[in-house]
Amino acid sequence: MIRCLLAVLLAVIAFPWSAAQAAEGSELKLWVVEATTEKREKPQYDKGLEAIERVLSALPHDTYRKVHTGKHTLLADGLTRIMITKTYTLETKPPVATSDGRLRLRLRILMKTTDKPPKEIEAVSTELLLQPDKQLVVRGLKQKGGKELVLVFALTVPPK
Amino acid sequence: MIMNTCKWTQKVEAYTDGESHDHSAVEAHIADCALCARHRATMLHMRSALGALPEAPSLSDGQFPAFMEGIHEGVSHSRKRPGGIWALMSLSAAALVIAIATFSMFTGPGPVKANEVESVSTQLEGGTAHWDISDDGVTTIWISIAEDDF
Repeated sequence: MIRCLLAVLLAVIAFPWSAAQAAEGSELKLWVVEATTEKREKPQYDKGLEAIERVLSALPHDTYRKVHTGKHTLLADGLTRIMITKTYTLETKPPVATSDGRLRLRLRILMKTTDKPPKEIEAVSTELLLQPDKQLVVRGLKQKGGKELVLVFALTVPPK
Repeated sequence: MIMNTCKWTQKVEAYTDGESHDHSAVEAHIADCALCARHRATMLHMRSALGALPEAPSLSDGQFPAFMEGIHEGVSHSRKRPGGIWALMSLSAAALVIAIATFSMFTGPGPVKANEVESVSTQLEGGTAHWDISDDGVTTIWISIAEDDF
């Protein structure tokens, strides 16, 4: 009986602590898309964007070109930097699993300025609570020629 | 065992028990009757075997009141269970387990909350950060900035 009591107490004490730990081995799926409006009758999506077509269809453009797609494992003990284009870099820390099953994610998209020497400023800085596998869209990152850079993220945490 | 059908059997048994009054006649019969001789030998053997058993303990008259007093005390004052802190901890553990089980049964796993944007900002000159979460759970963050500023 005493052993049961100790086990229950340990579980009760350890649960919130473990739930707040960094979700190790988290994987960030990333789609980088260049969106333009070319007055098409029907939106056009590059191959490789099938998984996010539904998300893109809600945006006010008609042409979506794939710039990059990939999975990135977030470093458990540090900062992950992913160069999106020559201008933009994604910077993020591993997400933290919360007790309600969501993932707390802090990410920054840094833009290289045209200054000499160039500086990096935060084009976007955000902290959010995401459900695993739910998509996050970041848009409004302007490119030359009226193009818009659209980033789509999905965060997955491997089962323990 | 062979059954002794001789009519002298009872006399032989009385003789063996020391209750016979006609010793010489019985002894003469035993000397002539093989059945009665064997019956007597069997009786003597059984008697010696019973005599070898330990005697059952018995209470003397002086011991009897103390014996009864012990029985009365055992009946009126039953043995105390282990108490103190161990009993308290056992009860606490049982209560805790029941409480947790009940809580788990009635609450169950809570619904996973929707996405939530805690903060969003931009350092782009003239830029404004916005966010929105659609009904199907897709979170969109967008930066609005004048074309000319880029």
